[in-house]
Amino acid sequence: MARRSPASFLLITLFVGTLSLVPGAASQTNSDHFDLRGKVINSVTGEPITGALVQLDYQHVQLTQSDGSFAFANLPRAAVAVQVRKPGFFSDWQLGRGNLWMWSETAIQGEVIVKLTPEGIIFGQLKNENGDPVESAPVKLHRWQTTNGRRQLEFVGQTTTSDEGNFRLAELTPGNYFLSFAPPDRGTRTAYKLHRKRQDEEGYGSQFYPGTPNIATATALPVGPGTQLHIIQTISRQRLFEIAGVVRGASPESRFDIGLFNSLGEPIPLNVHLNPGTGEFQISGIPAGSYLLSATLFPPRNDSPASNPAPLTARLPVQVNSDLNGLALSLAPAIQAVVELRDEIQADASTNNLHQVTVSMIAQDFSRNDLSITVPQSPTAPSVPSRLENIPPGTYSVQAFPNGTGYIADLRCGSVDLLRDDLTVAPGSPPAPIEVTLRGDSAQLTAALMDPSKSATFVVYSHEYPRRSLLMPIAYGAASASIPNLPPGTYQVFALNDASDLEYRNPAVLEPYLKDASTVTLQPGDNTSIRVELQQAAERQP
Amino acid sequence: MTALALLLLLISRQVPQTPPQTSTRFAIAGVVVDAVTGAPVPRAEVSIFVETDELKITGADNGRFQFQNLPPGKYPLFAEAHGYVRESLDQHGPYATAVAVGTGLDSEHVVFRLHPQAVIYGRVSDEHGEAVRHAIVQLFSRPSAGSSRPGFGQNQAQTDDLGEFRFAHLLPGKYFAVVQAQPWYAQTGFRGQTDASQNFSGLGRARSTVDPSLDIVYPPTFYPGVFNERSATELEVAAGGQVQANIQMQAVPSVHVVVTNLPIEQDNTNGVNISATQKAFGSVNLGMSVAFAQIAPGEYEVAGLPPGEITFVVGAGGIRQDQRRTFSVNVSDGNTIDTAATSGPGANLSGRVILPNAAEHFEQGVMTLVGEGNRVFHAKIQKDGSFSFLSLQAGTYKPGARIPPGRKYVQRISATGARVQGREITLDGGHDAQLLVTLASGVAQLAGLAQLDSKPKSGALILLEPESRENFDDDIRMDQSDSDGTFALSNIVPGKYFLMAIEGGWDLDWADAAVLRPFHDHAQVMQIAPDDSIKVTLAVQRPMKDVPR
Repeated sequence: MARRSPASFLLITLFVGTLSLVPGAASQTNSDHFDLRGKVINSVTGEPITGALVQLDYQHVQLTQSDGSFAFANLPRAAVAVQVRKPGFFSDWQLGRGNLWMWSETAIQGEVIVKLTPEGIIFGQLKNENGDPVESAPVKLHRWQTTNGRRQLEFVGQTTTSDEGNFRLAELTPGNYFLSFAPPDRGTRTAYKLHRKRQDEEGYGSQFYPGTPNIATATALPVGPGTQLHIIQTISRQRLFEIAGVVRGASPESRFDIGLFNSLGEPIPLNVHLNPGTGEFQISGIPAGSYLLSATLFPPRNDSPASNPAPLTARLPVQVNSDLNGLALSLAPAIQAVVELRDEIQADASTNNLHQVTVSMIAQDFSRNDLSITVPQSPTAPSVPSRLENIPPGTYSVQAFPNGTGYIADLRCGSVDLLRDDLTVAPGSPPAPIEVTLRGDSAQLTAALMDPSKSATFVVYSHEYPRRSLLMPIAYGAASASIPNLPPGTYQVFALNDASDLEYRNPAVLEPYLKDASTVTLQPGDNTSIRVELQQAAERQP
Repeated sequence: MTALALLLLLISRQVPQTPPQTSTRFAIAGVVVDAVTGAPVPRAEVSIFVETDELKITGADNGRFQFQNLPPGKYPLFAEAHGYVRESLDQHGPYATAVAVGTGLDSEHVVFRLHPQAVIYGRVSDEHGEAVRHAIVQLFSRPSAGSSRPGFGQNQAQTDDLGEFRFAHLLPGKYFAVVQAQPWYAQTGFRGQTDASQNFSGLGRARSTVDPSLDIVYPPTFYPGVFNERSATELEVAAGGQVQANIQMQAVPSVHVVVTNLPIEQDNTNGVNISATQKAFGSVNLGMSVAFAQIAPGEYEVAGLPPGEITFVVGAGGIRQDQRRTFSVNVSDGNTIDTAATSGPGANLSGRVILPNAAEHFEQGVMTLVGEGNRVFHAKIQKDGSFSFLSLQAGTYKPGARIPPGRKYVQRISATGARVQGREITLDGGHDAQLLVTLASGVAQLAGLAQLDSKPKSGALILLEPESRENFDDDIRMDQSDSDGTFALSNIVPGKYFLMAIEGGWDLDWADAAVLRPFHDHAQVMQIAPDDSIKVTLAVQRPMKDVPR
């Protein structure tokens, strides 16, 4: 689901599936109550769904009959929303397509039809080159998803093959999935002395459907509503390689660990031999592929528990297609960054006094090391410095979110404007302090459609700070939505019929829509309204 | 060789950095066969560990395998194949035959008998016949007689979108299946007026005043679909067999109880925690998700319970452990449970440790209590030898102690306020008790060679049986002879023992004194003194009558 701004999140409480009205007998209404009747059907086959849970609120809950029907009598005349669910199906809200649907009983003219989308399933069998089933192999799914307006490869789920090599992955929403198979996980074994390599090793490596080691060359499997895909996959033995080298900076009193991460940021199981005194290492059992070699050294603990010395780290990308020797890694102290909060909110008896911000560093490369910290950590000691510790070198998108009131007016690290650009942390060089400025003088924008529509979402795009852009869905039957707590600035606003999966922070993606967007400039404390045209979302690639 | 011995072997082996001359490299070779039919098992995966590296090879189509270029030593051998139990060579519980490799030893004619697996599979459905997803299915087993100490093994699986589960690689034997699940459409609510800020729901959806027809739970359900373990049907599976076990869940109205007089302060801002478990088969705890919410200070409504005997543990963050209350109640809807009136906070057990050598001290000493279900409790031993365990449930415990240096064993215990049998203490939970533990040091070890007709015998059951039956469970030591006939026993408590080697002994119900008695005639009677290190050559005995395999 696209991340919604805090205010819209509070408004979203009740949802429905795709709804349509069947004209028919007028509902019976008296002045204070009305009846609600309807049917739940499969969105693909049209068949009724028995035993679906239909819920209006905590007192009005029913399971549908064998003909898929439900009926609530004597409902108090008020807005009501209908939530429907059943395992094996998805409602529109669960698919990120639904918007806020608020029913007024005046909208009910007949029987309500609710459509649930059947789940997708990928199932099958994994065999080896001899035709024997492969057991206990992890089977994973990934897909491209737009999170916070950013397209990222996301892990969806996994299972393990049975003794017959069978696997099933169910509860899939429509989309395009990358299926991958890994050899049974033997775990990583570490020996603290070097060995002489005995003979060439053979084994199994990971592969993506249809049979490639890299996700870049993999084919995504399209899963539609109710699709059941049957896959028989063969994995074959391949040469496993050994890499060797030295980690500079090791010492006999410290413990050092070394490992390999694959292109999805996952550690892979290995046989590791290392000599803690000299820092020499040998890692065997590696299938061909691209990896990140990572070493960490933990210095001996001092007796004072207050300060444990920070670990030293080193990283090196390696391409393994054969045995490798002579790799060298230089350990450097782990990097930390100080995070400072400038709280510029006017103290005000009426506001919530929680002035805290969460700052996160989201890794943009290989590894999955995301770091977060809340500033100030302790409300009673706001001057204690907050530090993000043990930051691996790399490129990060730095984000800040207020935990209470306010908006992020400024976010920078030295000369880097983090509201616009990513932060690159080089090995051995700590970045400047990260400064966050929190202000309370935000603005509020109310956007209204020229013509009311069934389902639309406002896109509020900031050209100066694309990361401030956000989505605001419109309630059903409503024609406008309010967006509170906006940082002052200039915004381009437009409405789309379907904004699911939209990269709303990417100016290239938004360009075609911005031509007909409405522009508004907000000053601190403004409360402004604008009118916006509805546009149709373009076809999107998987 | 035992699993523990393997670990010690790996840690202690000194392997030179440069290998010695070529004449000291050896091989392990053999064939993998079906233990029932004797036919070769094609393409089994056979593995050994050379230091810490795992060497895994796929056997040939005729079942043959070979590892070459190995330094001398003992290698446990593992094999797995589709349709068979995953096991070590001649495995019996934690014991197996390791292949001894070196000059004068035959390690190239190994016959690895792989046992065909048993499979239990099935489908969990609800009262409408629909699949129940994400149900937890557990198997409790009583393995076939003798293979290791009789007791309960455990396997666990989760049902998929079809409600199906499958357990493979099982040892043939008898099993019970238990399913725990929640109806996906259940709406658990609270009947009383609850304080929303003090709500907790393990079920995720608890609210007030909910439609009662959906306030339902699935009690833990035993195959084929009963709530009472005594009515459960045992699933019997033979080697190579498959048994289908479909289980239908029945929803029952959820029980709501009110728990009063909780041991918390008025303004307790720390989270109160109430957990509930149900016992099965005497010693297994089945945890369950419940919802609870505060009605008034110290008074909570608990919902989402099945009816029956439930054990509650009630506590709160920030209160002392000895104020947690544990009590078992047979709950039915509408009960009010006054925690102050139940069996109390659990018993405190305090006591002293007596060391054999008065000059030794207790620094870094830790007292352990092993309770039912192998739960272990720890307490620090103070400088004067005293210790104390807080808030223990009623039950039977076995004390142990770890006081460096050296291994110490419990020689004898005595208690007031609790019952002592052998080296076990039984608490009744109603009041505190005191325990006196006398420790002794000087465990012994024994290494030996098992021979049949003057030739080394591999795979024999080696038993060191204490003369005193009372200490049988604690002091018995076992091993399985390796391919060169050697075996090792360690951590032996000094005393008088019968040492026996029995061919095919694993198929006997060796825990039965009457079964072992006939072997005493030809056993070696040993009086073992503290710190003894004994070497022994032992003649292997054959069981008197034919034992079914």
